[in-house]
Amino acid sequence: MSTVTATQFFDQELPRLFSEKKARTKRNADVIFEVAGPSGGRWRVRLAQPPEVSSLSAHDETGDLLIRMDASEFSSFLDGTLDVVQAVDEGRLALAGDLSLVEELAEMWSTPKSWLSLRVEESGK
Amino acid sequence: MKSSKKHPGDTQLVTHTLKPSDKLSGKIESALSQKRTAEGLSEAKGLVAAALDEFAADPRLKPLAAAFPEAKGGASALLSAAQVKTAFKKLAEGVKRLQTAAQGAERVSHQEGAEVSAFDRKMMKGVIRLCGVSFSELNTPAATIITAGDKIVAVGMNRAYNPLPEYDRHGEMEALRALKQRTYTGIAQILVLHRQRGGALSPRSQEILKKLEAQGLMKDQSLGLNPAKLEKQGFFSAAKIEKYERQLDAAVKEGSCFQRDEDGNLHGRPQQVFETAMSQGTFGAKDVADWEVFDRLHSRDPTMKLALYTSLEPCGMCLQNCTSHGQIGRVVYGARDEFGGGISTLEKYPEAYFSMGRVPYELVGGVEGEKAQVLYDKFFNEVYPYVRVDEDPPPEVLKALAKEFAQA
Repeated sequence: MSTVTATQFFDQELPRLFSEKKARTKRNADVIFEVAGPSGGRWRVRLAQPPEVSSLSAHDETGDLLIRMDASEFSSFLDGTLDVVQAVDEGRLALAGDLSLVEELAEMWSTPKSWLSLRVEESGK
Repeated sequence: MKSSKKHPGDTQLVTHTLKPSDKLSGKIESALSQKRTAEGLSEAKGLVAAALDEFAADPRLKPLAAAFPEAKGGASALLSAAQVKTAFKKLAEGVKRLQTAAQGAERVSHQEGAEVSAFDRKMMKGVIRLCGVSFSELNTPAATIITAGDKIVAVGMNRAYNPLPEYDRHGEMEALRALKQRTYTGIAQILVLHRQRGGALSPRSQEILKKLEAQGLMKDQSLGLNPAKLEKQGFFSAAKIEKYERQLDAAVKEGSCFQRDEDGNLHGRPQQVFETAMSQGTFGAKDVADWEVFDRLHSRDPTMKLALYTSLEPCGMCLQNCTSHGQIGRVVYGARDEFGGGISTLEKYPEAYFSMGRVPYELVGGVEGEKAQVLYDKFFNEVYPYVRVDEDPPPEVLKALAKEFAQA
């Protein structure tokens, strides 16, 4: 199980990876993460160019997607072992808003295999 | 004749023999055993990054660090991009399962009880009608209509046997080709309309349009382009015109976007098929998608979902093309094809395939793969992040990589 806490993830790791690994997104939207429990908190991941993360102190800021989970679920999420369907069924995970943004979060460092054209001429001018 | 002998430049899948000892072994072996795909390599990079974090001083890691330059996470890094990507990806997969469960009625399968709308039935009757034309030309009767919402965007008829035996001219593929031609026809026609309204165009665009007009560009009015409406929708804006000029230039250089007859005239087949479907009463002028739909499709608008209606179960090639297209979200077919359908033959494909006297084929991976893998890794890591958001990658990176591909 991952030992990285939500605070470490949102305050330290995600901002570092955004800046170091050329994260890119076509969307322009806010995803709010709420993690309850120890080392929990509330963060906004802004999908923009470049993407950014900020800590939210109040509950009055809304986004295009809200993802709420417990700290224990957060560890499973980072490990990739979170059973989303079961967690939602049991109320340990809640998602509200534009669910397509979840996929966009996964695609920010994407390397799809089907993209086969290269705009050398266009880009070289 | 087959040979298992490894040729220079080949890669071998999951046959690495590097086996360092003690506690590093597990991590390194795990990294090396990842599949040689972009995803597998991404996983491997994550594992190597973790090993580098934990055993930074171990000299045995140097070759691996060199092989995975992106994995240099640094001592303070707790997670790699690959790990975070995997976490979000798993979350996205879970969300997709939730959505699939909620939208189960939208899936069409062999299971009885799939929901079919009146519009679905109208389109299916239309494609079955069109089959008659296909059959009269001594082809397997099969036809396809592609729609966006309740609007028609393209039509295709099978002609894989006549007038020429061409394996890729199934109805679905013809419709996809027609969609491409209609899109670039629209782009060119808008530029002509822009010029007719006194708008400026580059000398290159004027040269292209002069040729296309001589080839009959404006004869196809099935897109129903209306200058006043286009103006209102912003299609004559400077940004749009510049984009269309750039795309048309690239399209004509490529040469595959327009079909022409022996005299170099445009629109021979796609326009004829489209008009045949209209004359049969399958749809009227008011049912044809307007330019806004084509523009959104061409801009890869992720909310624009197409449906493909086809009389016969798509073969593997057509089904895969529907999937690869990326914006076809629904395929509806009439008759099953137990011997050639991409769904029906999943389990008995080899038997059916060979009983039809087709040549055997096999999939071989890793041939000349050593160089290719390095090049594609570079492409996906250094170029694609820009491309997927329509940004131009650094020209020097492009030129260097293009040169490497050319010299591989």
